[in-house]
Amino acid sequence: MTHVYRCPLGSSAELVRHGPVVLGKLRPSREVREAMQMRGEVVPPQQVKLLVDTGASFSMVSRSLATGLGLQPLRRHPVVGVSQKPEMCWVYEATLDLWLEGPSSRVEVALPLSVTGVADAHADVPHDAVVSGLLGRDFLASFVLHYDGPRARFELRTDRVQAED
Amino acid sequence: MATLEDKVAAQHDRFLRALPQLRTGHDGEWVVFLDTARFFAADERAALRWAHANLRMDAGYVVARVEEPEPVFLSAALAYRLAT
Repeated sequence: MTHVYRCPLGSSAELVRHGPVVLGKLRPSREVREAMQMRGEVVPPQQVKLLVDTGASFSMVSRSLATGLGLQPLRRHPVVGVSQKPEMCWVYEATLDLWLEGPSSRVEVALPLSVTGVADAHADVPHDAVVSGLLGRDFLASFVLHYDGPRARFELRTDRVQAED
Repeated sequence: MATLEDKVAAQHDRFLRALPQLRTGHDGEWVVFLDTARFFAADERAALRWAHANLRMDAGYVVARVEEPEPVFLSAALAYRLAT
């Protein structure tokens, strides 16, 4: 059963400017949410704008976003950023909610996602150019990416939605 | 009081020390590590499922691939030193 995420942008110029951006909601995994609820904590999901980046090995968001959402840390991993020196960054367990078009209707699917938390570096970047993070090749391992510049659209297609358990 | 990140960081250090031994027989697999290797799996989702079912969320467990950690680039531009 094929599910598709389609680009929300309207023109080629917008696609050039903003890139293949995915709009969704980021939140802790179901198990972490249940543990938080038992402690009386409720953190609402965060609307996110994630740029699909075939040049990124792993998906990433800012560390402040990850900790603010209460994502579960799983491990640390060396990441090379602008400093060009490897820095140990946390990898968190998260859930990304996306609206996908199925065979007969649109469905909101909760996709498990491991995200690396990196230092915020957006201070001098125009607000509308800022994305919440990158969707890297780990995320794309489950999707076919079709980028159509002339028609101003891209889509992510999958035959196996690996939704949250 | 130790935070969850403190606990996971301590377990991650122990995991790295145990890594040479873990790679013997489990290289490339995923492990749930808490003081010692608790469970091995073929992929991260299976390792996480086991951890959720068997360990407390605040235990400080590590879920990682049994391999030597190699630095990854945030984006391709950085791999080619094109960052401004």
